[in-house]
Amino acid sequence: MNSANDGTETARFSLLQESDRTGKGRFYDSSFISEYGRLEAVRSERYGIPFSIVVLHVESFHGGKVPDKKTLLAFLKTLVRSVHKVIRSCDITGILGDKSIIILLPHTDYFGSLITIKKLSRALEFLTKEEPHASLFLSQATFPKDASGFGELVSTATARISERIRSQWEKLELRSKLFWETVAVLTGTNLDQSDLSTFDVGPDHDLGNSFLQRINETVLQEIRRKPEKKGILYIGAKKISKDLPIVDSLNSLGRTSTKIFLVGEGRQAGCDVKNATAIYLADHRLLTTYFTLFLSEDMAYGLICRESWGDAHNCFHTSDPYVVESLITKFQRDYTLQEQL
Amino acid sequence: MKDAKKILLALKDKEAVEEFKGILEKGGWRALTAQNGVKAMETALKEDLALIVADLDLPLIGGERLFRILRNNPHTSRLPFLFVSDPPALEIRGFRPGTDVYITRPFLRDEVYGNIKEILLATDEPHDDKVIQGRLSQVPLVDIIQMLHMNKKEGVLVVRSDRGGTASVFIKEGRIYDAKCAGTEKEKALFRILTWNDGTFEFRPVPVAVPPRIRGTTGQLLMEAMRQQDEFENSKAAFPPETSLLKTAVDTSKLPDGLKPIMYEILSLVRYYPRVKDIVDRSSFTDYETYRTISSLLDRGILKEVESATPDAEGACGPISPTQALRIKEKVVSRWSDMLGVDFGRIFVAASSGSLLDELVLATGDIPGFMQGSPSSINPGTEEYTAGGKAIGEIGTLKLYGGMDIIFFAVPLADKMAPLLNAFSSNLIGLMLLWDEDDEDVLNGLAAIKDEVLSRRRVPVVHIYGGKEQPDKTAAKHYRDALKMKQDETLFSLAPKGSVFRIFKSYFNMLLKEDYISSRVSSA
Repeated sequence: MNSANDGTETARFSLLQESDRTGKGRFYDSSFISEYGRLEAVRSERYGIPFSIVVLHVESFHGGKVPDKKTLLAFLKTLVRSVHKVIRSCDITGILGDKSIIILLPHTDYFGSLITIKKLSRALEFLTKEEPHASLFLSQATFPKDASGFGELVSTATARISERIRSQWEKLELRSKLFWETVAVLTGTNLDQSDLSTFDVGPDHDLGNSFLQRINETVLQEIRRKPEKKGILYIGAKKISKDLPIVDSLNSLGRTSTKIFLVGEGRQAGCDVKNATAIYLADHRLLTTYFTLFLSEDMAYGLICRESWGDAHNCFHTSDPYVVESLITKFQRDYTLQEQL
Repeated sequence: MKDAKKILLALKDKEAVEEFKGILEKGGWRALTAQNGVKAMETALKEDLALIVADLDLPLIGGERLFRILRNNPHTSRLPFLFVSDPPALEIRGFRPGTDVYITRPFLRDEVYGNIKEILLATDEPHDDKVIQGRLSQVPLVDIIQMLHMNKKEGVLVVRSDRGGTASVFIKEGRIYDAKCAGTEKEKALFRILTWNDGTFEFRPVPVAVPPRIRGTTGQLLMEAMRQQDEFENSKAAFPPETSLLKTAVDTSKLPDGLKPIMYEILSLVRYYPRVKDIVDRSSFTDYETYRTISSLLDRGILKEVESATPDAEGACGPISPTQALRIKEKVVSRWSDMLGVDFGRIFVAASSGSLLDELVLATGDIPGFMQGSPSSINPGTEEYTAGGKAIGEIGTLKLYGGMDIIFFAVPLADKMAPLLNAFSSNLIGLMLLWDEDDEDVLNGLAAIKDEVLSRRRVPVVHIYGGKEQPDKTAAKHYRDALKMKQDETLFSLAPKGSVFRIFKSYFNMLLKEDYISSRVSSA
């Protein structure tokens, strides 16, 4: 709930009136959104079809200064128009609070909502660069995975926005960094949080290097347990060869709905890997790094380990779906791989 | 001010009070405030209030306690409550759906306004205080409902069967709005209640604020209920017995599109509840429709009868009975919402050594339905299995009646493993801590894992000392302190042989308690 005494309220309503005239899409008030969302949740429950929401939050608009209503209205209009260009005609956009708008995505699962977020991020990038400057945060929540009702769904998505604003990812300013720059920061910083931390593996540490292999096996075990669940998995194995234990495990995995990529340095070596796509990249940094980036409808786990001293590795791991998804996106972009989830 | 109804804002946070005042002004209601439970109670007893908006965690006397006190006072027993709390929503004992409302932050201003308006509108209606009651053997339920319909009554009809079970029918202006009966609701519950002919009824003329969830006029509903009852009696012989066990006989993914929703629902239910009675109880369709569809699916060869469960099968030879197994499954399924996605629960096992894990697995092997390892589980003898409890992955699975697997998942005893615990905590329903040495690092490590897991989800924790002999009193006290065990938590021991059966029985009993696995994990 928001108290709006700073002019935002006026802009919000002006925007509402304006949206009636845009023709291409409509922008609804919170009562309509609440009612529609509740109905969509009921429909989703009845027919067993997923339904997602995306929350777009505007932070530190105009450098934190109070903007005049005209500027704010112009910004919001541009924002809504840009959103309407990306979303489908069946999606519903409306106001959620003074700084947030909400997009209801009927018939959309977790990955569908992530793809919408990707598209929105790209389409709205110019707003974060032009004046008046604003930071945009996007989050999602999916019914029934994240909530048992529409109210709870909105709470989950808004709570994720707050977590994101406070996250180490933002504090370390990793949003704009390249994949390897991000890896260097993450593995080189001492982190100890419940969803993001660093540790060492190797002969003189708590965990031996076999831990890295076990993690991959355990992730494949999760995929095997729920083969129908969508997911994406990148395994960085330094160099791909048919002697890698993970290759055997992949060969015996069977058909699943998870897209699996086995990444290694060098040229195609004629190693046949079943149930996964082998990606060979000419980048020596891959020779010193193991990574596992797994994102599914049920879980997220990212582990990156870089060789440090002798046989030891500096590792970073996370269970934050946003961080895992961002790392996957960076990896795909930096190597111009097909962007997919 | 419109109606000048007084609403007490028992909210600890001043900002929240101001926000609510704004909403109340919009509705023309008068706001009174109280920043703690004692003040709220005084105001409630002194003033003629229309509603209390209360924080659950009010200082001095909490919101739930305040609610219970005022409900027990005849002067305030009818006072509706609007509870406010941070997510997740908690269960409130005595909560009256239709009268009280529960909202979690953040919420929309319009939504709150609508809720308040609805509550106050419901209390606006004049109500007759007199309760109508009697025995069903004297006045059939159909006659009572018809009478309430003719007189356009509003209230709750509570029916108690002599065979056990209580049900409620919500009536407003003589129309049936909703019904609830032993986990069922709407038409299914109503039609079931209408078959009761022994027991008592009681009509309470109280405001009904539940939304209409049953369609059709009272006459149509009663006619349809009678028709289904007659049809059921006529076709009963052709229906499978309620103890029959069913399974799908075809690949359901290859069935044509456009089947009736009830067919999809039954085929989904069969995957998890093979017994006919369980399917009928859990189907959202009426009992007759469900039986008829099951019969039709059997005739078409889509379902097949496996065997009839004998009454002996109820008495389990494992640590839990089939009924308990189904209750566990139901609890886990309701916790994770996605019924099709839930066919297992996971128990984290943190051990001080791989050999202890081995001992646990060997001992658990005596329990019917337990399978050691999995296709890709840890191989005994490998480095990660034996090297100081650094194992990760499945070490065994216990198969429960009804198709639920309990997976035992080893987690490494090492620093900074919180993201790993969090990532693999989907369907987490328990934590087992095992140790056999008096090492401070080991005990601290286990305590850290316990803290981490419990900070995310309330699950039963089982503490097992794996030494050759049971620990003496001094050692037991030391372990209890180091692992922050509560008074009512048991310190188990793997010795003597056969103890594991008692450990599992205790664990499942804990799991079935209401307050476990009740909150949502924040990520993924």
